[in-house]
Amino acid sequence: MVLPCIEKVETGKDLIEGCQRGDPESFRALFEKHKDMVYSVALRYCGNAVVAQDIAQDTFLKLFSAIGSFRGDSSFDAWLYRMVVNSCFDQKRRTRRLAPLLDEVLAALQTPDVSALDEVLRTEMSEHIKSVVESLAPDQRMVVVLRYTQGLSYEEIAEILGCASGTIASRLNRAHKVLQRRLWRLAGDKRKW
Amino acid sequence: MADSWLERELKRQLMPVVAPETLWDRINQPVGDRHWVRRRLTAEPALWVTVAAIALLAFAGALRTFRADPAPEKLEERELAAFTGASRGFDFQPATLEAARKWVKSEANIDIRLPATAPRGDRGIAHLTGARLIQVRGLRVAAISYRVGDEEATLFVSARHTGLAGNMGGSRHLFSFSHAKSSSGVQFTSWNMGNETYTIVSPAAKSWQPACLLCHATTPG
Repeated sequence: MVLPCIEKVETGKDLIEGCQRGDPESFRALFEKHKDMVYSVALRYCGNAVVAQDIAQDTFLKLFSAIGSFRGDSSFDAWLYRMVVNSCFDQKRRTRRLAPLLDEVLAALQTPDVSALDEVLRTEMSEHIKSVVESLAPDQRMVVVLRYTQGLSYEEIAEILGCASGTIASRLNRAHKVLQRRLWRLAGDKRKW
Repeated sequence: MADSWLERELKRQLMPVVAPETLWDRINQPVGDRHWVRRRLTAEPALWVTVAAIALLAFAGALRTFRADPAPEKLEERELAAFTGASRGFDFQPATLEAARKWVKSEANIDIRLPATAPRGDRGIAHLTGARLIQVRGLRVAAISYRVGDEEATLFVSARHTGLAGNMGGSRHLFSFSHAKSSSGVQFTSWNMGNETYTIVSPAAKSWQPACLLCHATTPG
């Protein structure tokens, strides 16, 4: 099921303190509040429902183990986002793929003539977007997911990933170009058929 | 292809989704168990005595099983043997057993029952060489490799229901040992403990007993 819109939730201090006291109801409430966000980021990042559940489980276990050490120096939501992001990166490190690297090189050798695309190709390409996003480099893919799945601003993404917002803008720009190249190449391949 | 079209498609294709209902069950179980055990052990010191007594009895029973009837083993030998040693690289280099236990718990949610450090035993001490997470037929298995003297061994741990130790999958006993040598030059020592299945893989040419030094100060027999 797809959520109708992107919803940003603030996590209350009472809820966090309840979890820090070990209150089971607070754990459940915290889970209910953030489960869709955690699962969505995981699923859109890795593209596989089973792996996404592993990532979400891993994230919540880390969260419940570490919440006692949360001091509120940064926002809770940014803290939780960092956990999801790290779990996603850890999961991918365990299942490293070399194919995207080769893909990246091949894509860089082709420069698309964007003006030649028509509506038919666009429709066709939109079906490939998810698979093409999955082939992006991890840092670019995460920026794309946080931007388009969660609707976060450059500044919010920068805080989560621990870099400057200019870096985020640059990564997103590069990701757009890579996506355009790969979608164009896919469309070209289809035409040859 | 304008950016606006791409951005519109990205928003559409990457929309947030609702988490599956089963997610809470996966998360709640280990957390609940962990809290329950901690509360009980803190509140009831007598429980420590009971746990220790059960462990002693089980260990004694296991030793008898080892001597009397080494059961033939039909495990996923090739799959496990392929992941022994350092040839495939490690995901993590733990300094202590405690670090290995915590890493496996956080990465795979598998609870490995290990002492904090390897005890110095009657034949030396086990030195950790590395840990990794592997997939055996799609199932997640933790592998901790170590060396005792010049002998290398790897401890594989999986959730018990995975049936990693095939002929013991249905057992409901706290401990259930078996030991066998394979034709392919490795030997397997397997047991169930709690919710996990443990399998130590070591070279068939060597005695399997030093492999026990990972957790025990003395070797059986």
